[in-house]
Amino acid sequence: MGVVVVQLGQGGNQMGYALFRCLASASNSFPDQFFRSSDKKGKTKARAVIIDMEPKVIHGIIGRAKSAPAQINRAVWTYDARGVVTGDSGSGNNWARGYYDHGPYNLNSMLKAVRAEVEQCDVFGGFIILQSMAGGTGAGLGAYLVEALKDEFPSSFILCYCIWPYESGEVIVQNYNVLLTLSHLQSFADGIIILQNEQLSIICRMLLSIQRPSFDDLNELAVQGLGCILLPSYWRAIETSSRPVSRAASKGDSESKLSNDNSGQSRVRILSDLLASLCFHPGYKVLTLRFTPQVPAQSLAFTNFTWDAQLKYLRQMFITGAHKELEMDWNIQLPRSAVHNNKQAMLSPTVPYLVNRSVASLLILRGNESEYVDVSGFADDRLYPIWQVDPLSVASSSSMYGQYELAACLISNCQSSVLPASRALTKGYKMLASRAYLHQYFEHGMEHASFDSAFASVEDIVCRYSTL
Amino acid sequence: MARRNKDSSDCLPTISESLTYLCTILSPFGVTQLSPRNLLSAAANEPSASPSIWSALHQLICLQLASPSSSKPVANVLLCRLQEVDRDHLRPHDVTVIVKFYLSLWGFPFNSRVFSLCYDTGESQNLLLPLAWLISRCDIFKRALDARIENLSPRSFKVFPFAAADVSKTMVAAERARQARTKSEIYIQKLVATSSSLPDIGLRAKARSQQTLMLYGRVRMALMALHSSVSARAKFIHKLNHMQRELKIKDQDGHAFSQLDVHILEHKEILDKDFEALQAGTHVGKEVEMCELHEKTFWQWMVSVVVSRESQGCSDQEIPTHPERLKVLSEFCTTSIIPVVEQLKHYAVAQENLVRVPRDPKSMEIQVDSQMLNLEQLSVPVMVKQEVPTFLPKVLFPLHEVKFTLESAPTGGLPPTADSDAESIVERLKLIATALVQVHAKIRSRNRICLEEAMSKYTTQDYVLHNFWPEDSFIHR
Repeated sequence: MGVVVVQLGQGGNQMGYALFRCLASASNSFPDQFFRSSDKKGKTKARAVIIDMEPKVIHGIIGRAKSAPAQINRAVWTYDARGVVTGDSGSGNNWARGYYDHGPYNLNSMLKAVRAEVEQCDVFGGFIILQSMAGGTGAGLGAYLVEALKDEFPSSFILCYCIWPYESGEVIVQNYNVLLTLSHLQSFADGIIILQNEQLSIICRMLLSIQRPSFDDLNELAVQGLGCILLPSYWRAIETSSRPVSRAASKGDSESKLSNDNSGQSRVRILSDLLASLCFHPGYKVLTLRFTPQVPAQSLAFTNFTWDAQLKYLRQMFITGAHKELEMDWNIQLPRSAVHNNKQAMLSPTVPYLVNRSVASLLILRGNESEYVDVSGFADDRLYPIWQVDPLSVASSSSMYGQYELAACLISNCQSSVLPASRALTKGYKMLASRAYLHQYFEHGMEHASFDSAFASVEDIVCRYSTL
Repeated sequence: MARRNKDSSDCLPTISESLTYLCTILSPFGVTQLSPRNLLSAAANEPSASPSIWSALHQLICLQLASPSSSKPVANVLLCRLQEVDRDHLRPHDVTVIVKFYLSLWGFPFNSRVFSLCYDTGESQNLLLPLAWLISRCDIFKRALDARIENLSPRSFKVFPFAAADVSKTMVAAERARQARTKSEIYIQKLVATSSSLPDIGLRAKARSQQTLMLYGRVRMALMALHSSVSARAKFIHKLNHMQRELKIKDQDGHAFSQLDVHILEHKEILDKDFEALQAGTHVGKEVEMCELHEKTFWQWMVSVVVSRESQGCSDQEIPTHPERLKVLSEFCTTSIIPVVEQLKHYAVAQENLVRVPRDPKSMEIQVDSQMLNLEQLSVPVMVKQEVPTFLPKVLFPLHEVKFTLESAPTGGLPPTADSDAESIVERLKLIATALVQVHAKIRSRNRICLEEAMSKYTTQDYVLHNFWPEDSFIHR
């Protein structure tokens, strides 16, 4: 099943390159969902459409892909030149310019490139949109393209992987941009993964010993969880057999990278199964990724990983809504009863919530003995609303994930997903009230009502999650 | 006598081929005394063929008694049927008696000459008719064909599939569909149970509204996935057809291969299985055709035998005059009834399990005596024909549950209506004999009384002759 990755804007393209690098290096062979062979020369190409209104970043990543050193026993991959859509001038972090100008102007060429890539797929699984929410191209053009893709391919799944900007303010109008983008994606995308730059930066500094993380470092960390989800895995039950779990996985077991290690189990179909198990409720589409272990690369060889420890950290991260393993509040515990008073659970940016409740979760385990690990702690009823049934889905693969002997990624449709939106909403209302920078949007055809409806939509999302 | 049917096409086998076929299919059923030469000799009325035809008749009767409908070969029919009889002491006369008895019992025309023939008779041609009659009754051709077909066709291909299976309905797809359906049903049940268990009505309503939205979302996504699969399928078919057009690949009729064809060609094991089934089906068809042709030829030959017989002036014996037939029949009865009863005794042993135990076990001897009294009354030849049916129920009906009686009754369980004295006497003999068998079986099954001890006094020749055939009522009529 083929999945087409659409890389939008500077952030999306850089992250896309990091994603394909991660996917190519994490397994023995190129996953055919994301790579294909070119007929003429047998080169491996990424199933990607790269779009940016400025050519600089695109040329950069294409050049890097071509010049990347060949892996042992494996050819390098590259981008297909027919999947490149670029313009002469950028969006200038103007959402309206991206949505109202660049979008309609470049629609045909974008759809043409997308169609060409979709036709290369024997069985088309859907789109993954990589974009930033703060800028103009990724945010504005991205929102427009998602609507267009939904019109053009109405039965295709669309998963948006969005970079949430630093809250300190990379772009002065980022609050507007994120809210406008989120409101549009909520209407047209099937799932939205929010990735906070803030959290990535903290993880890099505190856990990965990278004091001044570059964009490459951030992107590499950003795609770690996504790659863990997108690589082949197999459904498994929450309850396990009595086979004991080995305390310490063997190190450097290159044979465990084989991909045919889960014969007889049904494979997770990328996007359709993923989204069907997480975003089945039309009102809850915002997702969060949590990945473990968060260990510097140079420490991997000296660290003993155990499933119990990894899942313990991951579960607490899940309960508290944290994104990093350190400085979690271990005092936060699950309430006694699953039925609680929903009327008081209004989400407030200043009053921290106690337990991070979720609509549904998907846990993916990779590594030795992953089929037998007990994960029933993640299926606790107190973590989910009272009307939910079978909220947890689990998949596993006994193959190693890159350098990690054991890796676990939890993607959850939970309250913590909309915390940044809640904060941005507060700031956005303040700016809107003072009519700050609105002229940049109005000159491209936007109206005040667009802001009102977008803000109301996001407020609706936040309110819905708060009453879980 | 025609050797080949001139009316049919050239594909009809010769008579000798058909007779050879007949002997071949009779052999597994234990009828080993027959050969094409014997049959042809019998058709020519040669005395040398008589013993083999009598033996064949006897073996066919044994076959029918041992396994009336089975298509499986019966090894040594004679032995399994006459287990309690010393085979070495089976005399030719016994063979003829048994054959005649069962022919009459099973409804072969009683005026046939076979009843007056001896073992080494010179009228071997007259033995062919009962042979053919028994072959028909035993359904030999069909049974042999069933046995052959069962050996030829593989177990899994009893019938060649009449249509190709749809490749989309593969085991994996079917299993996945079944799992998805089961999972959905369980999920719905859980949803309903979850919301139903909530105590507060408002909470319950809210839960159900959320669950409704969830279900809507799931259905929507399932439809999207389904659409993707359907699109992929259409794409593959188009690709297949396009590829064939480019490569100019066509089958022998000039058509492009369908996806099923390509699937089969790609998966050789499916093709091999299909060929195997086709071959098995072809063999079966050939066997059926061959059997039909041989059977047709055999019956045509039998018709020619009858025609020849009639042209030679031989016919079934006329119904003898009253004294003559009575004399013949009485000789038959006096000399042959004991072996017949003995034979029936053995048969009763085999049919023991079919006998239902009478309710009152204590008065077995009284019942035996009562039965004997009824039999004596029934056997009085002077009894008018109208009185026979009234006595029959007394004998038969209490014992009606005996399966053997119903099956062996020539009139299908109804009281026989004799049109002539001779026939009525034969019928009465049958009734008496069967009644004896019933009583034997009852006593044996219930009280484990030795058969000879309980019935010995009833089975002596003197007793039968004295009680059933008073001399003055027979000979002097």
